[in-house]
Amino acid sequence: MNIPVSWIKEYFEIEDLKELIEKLTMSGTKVETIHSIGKELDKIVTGRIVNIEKHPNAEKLLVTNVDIGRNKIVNIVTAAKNLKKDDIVPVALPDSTIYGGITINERDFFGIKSYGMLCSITELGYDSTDFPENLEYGIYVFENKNLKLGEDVCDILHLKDDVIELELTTNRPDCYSVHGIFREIKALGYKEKNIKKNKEYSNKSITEHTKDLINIKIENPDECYRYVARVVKNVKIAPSPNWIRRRLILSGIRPKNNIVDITNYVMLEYGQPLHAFDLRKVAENNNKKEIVVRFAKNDENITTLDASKHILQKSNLVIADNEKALAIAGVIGGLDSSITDSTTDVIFESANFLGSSIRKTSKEIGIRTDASTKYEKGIDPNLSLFVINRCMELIEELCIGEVVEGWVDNYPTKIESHTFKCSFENVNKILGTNIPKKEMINILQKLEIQAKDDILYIPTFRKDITNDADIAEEIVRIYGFENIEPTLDNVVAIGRKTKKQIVEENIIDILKSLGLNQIMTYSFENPKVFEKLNIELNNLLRDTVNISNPLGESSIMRSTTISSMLNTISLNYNRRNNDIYLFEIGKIYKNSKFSENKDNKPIEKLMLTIGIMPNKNFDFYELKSITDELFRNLSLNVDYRPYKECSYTHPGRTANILIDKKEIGIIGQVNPLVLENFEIKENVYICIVDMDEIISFIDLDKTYIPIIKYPKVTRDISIKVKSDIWAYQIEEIIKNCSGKLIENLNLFDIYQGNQIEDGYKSMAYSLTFRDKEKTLSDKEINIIMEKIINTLKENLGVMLRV
Amino acid sequence: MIDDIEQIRLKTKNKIENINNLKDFEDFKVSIFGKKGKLTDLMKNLSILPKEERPSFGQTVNILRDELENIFFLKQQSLKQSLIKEAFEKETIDVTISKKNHHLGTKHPLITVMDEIKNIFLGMGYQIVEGPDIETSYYNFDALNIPKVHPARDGQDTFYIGTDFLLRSQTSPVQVRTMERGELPIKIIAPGRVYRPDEIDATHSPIFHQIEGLVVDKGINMSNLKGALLSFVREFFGKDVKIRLRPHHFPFTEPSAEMDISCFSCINNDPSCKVCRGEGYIELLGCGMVHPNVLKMSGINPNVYSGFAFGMGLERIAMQKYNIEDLRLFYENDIRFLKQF
Ligand SMILES: [Zn+2]
Repeated sequence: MNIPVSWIKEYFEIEDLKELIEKLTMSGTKVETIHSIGKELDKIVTGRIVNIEKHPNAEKLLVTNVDIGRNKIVNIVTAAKNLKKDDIVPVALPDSTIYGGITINERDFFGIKSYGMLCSITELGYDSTDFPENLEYGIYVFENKNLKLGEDVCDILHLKDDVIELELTTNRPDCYSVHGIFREIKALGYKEKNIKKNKEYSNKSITEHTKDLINIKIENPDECYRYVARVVKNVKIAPSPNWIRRRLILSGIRPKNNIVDITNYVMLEYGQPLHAFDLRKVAENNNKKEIVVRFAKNDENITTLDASKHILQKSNLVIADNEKALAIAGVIGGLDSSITDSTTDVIFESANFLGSSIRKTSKEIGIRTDASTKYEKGIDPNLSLFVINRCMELIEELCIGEVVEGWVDNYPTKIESHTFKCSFENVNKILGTNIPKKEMINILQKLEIQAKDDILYIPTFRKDITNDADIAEEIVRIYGFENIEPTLDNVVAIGRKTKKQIVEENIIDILKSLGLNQIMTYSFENPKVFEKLNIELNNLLRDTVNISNPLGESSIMRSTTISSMLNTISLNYNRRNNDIYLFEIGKIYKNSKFSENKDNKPIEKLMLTIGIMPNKNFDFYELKSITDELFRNLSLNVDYRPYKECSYTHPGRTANILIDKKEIGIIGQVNPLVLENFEIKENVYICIVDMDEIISFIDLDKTYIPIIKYPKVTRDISIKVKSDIWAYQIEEIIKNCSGKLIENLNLFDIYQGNQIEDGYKSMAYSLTFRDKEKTLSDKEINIIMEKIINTLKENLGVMLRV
Repeated sequence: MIDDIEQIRLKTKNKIENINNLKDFEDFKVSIFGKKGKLTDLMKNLSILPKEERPSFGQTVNILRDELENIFFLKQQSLKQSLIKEAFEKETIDVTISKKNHHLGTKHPLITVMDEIKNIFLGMGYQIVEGPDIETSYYNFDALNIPKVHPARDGQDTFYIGTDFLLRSQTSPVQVRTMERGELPIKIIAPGRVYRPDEIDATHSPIFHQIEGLVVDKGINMSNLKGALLSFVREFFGKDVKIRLRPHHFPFTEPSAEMDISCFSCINNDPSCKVCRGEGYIELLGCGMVHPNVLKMSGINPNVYSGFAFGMGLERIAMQKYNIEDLRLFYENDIRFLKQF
């Protein structure tokens, strides 16, 4: 919300604006910024045209003699044509600044010195919306012919102001008005000025009573709490006075005409929206204009002020006469009953509607207005009558029309101020303070909350206050948070991480030391990703968790992390970054099946994803050495088995990762056709592992295994096998045949080509044996070796090479 | 005989001067000390000497042996020295050349900052608790005292998954889940990913991270909250940083406040300061005393227990810490960015 400082200063003595802003901010009414309006305007004063002559040397110019006060008459050259003798105009003196920061100096025009410049409103930074009484391009001429000369024009036309922008909280709808803020300023200890009214409010001109003119029916008192109406006759539609227009503009409202402007002005003052109907357009029933507050009929039509046509629903509240809807309640008026230049008699409405109903309707018809915003936040129904009367007061004061006596007030259930018993001791307990009860009551009184013993009387505009905690907040915001001593709680607790958090941190540390960079990506995904990844139509990955209201095309929660990784690699690749070694720990999401989650809540799984686009000298085995090192560090025994079913990897270069025969992940080279879809033209290696599985397999309690003091025995074995035999098959046999004695086996050579016939490969292993209880003898080793060789021969057709 | 000894001494001393490689040195050494060497030969003469001359001759030969051994030792040292010197010269490389083979990877900057924050709270006795990204309206709104009709529940402020679920728009559901478990006292922080339908720009992202704290016990008050926040801020931002609590409103706390910290980047509210824009303070987090309704809904008696809660955005803090002006950098993962941390 924006408030011009001049408005505040009209009501309060403010010596130090900075102090006020600080106090407002620290008591919960945060001042976001201060907009300084017209701050560059300087040395622009009133001057009276004494004489106008043609410029002797320039056809299009005039030379004026201007009285700028203090008995000084100067020559000023101008091109404007709208001036006549005795006009009072703004004069930019030499060394002055006009709009846009332009400096005006004494200047020679074809032999005649001009002492400054005569200004149009544009040169003062405004236009004809601000000053409708004036031409946009001619020199501004003051309407008041009795102005003192040499006076600052900024003061007279209210050209300069500071506007403070406030950030208000939703629990304080009562602050969304100038007087709401004034209430806060008062509570902060500022004294209100005594403001004399120009004229006493009266309505002697018309003898009829409003009750004879209109009748109000509320059909839905649950959604319309109150409806007050008054009537003004013989109005003269015109632009409103400058000061009202200025305040509206500074507060962010565009002026229209005096009637509409006054309703808006009063809304700014008190936060209560008012609406004006052209009385002629409201149908009569039993010789009275009848206003009905009711739900719209199905498919009822209305064309609103903005000339748009709406088809309403049964849940939309409307203001109607007995024939048609006149306005959409609390949101916007109808075009037909709106104020026009020919309007003479006006019905004013000051009503109170259920905020949630207004909000719903406003959303449904797609129109948000200042009024609907105010209703949504909530307005005190006890304001309605006071505010409509204030509006009438202004109408009389500004001589806009003749106010008809009295009002019609339909207020089915009066809202009374509520009370509750407050424990001041509890308030101190909540705050950790020792504020004396007397001081608290004093603070509450400033906030218009009365206390009788421990019973508090809460005004109706503060519906948000219902318990001790609310009172504690009211106390502390005036008492000041800075006056609360910081102390430490004495909760007996120990800082602790979960196993998952510890494992996650370990993995990050290990992968970091292996040269990988951690990435973080979005959990959203574009459903087109499955085509890019070459994933079959019946794959479970396509059974995704879908966002009902996505931003753009990323409308699903990712069911795989592979595309986030490939997108990141692609971004780096296309920025010509080299040596891309990445990993991510992040979730995937899938729909739950019957047994997994009883409430059908989607399942979230944490995944570790490694993605590498190496420069050179890198192959599948390099990647595997990274994962091997990771699992070894985590004390996990993993196996790798060839896997050909993954659509986005190379079928001959992909393996499943297993722990205890359970598949926990996949490792491989990415399918080049998939890479094409991600605009990557280099090889990429990936590994995706289920972190939840890793966490469940990991035992964080490590125990020391004694170092065996007996020596090891190493034997090498060189074999020839068919090419389609996998290393794991050979290694399984070696392990099975040697039982606990095998300490290590290392494939140190693998060869295919010359000297080895087609369809075969040669492999050389170095086997290390050790017994923890004794030194192994050659004889024992020989028996094992023989068993290994025989089994390899029998089961896999392995031949020994010499 | 004695002359022979003198001869050997002189000749050896002369010859050894001219030796300049290890092979000649070893050969010469054998020719003196070896089985057929000159000293052995000399000792062979011992038997032909008259008995009374033998002791003094033997003594003289031994003196010669000691002397020669010393000469050979010194020669060997100097030979080694000059040889190694030669080798060093030959093997000299340009040590100013860099050939990088080992790379240490990096932790994501958001995780680094998150860890730093976690560690401070761990030290203050807080447990780290996590919760699901996909939540129900109950945990994300109802149990947090957020009215049934509230803008935060709109599709413009919360992502929905069908009618039953949503993507949590704050980490507060973790607080509710923890309170529901009913194990008191509670002293936790809940870090995690949260979701809001904001279009991506330099300061907004539909996905970001929050860290929330919650302490519930008998007698917890606002003064404790201030103490906890002050301890955290001093540890994280520095000892001289001041805090300021401003009253605010959140449905789940009462009283509520926003906490600002004094600008750590400038002195005297410098208007050109990029961090505080001349305000002198930076908005850091929201906090307050847990609303009695929130305690009640989670099965905790608000007449016996009270609590405080606070929540902050990780990205904002990381941006301030590293002077990063565009939030998108965190999720783009350009390795030139990642490798700086
Ligand atoms: Zn600063």
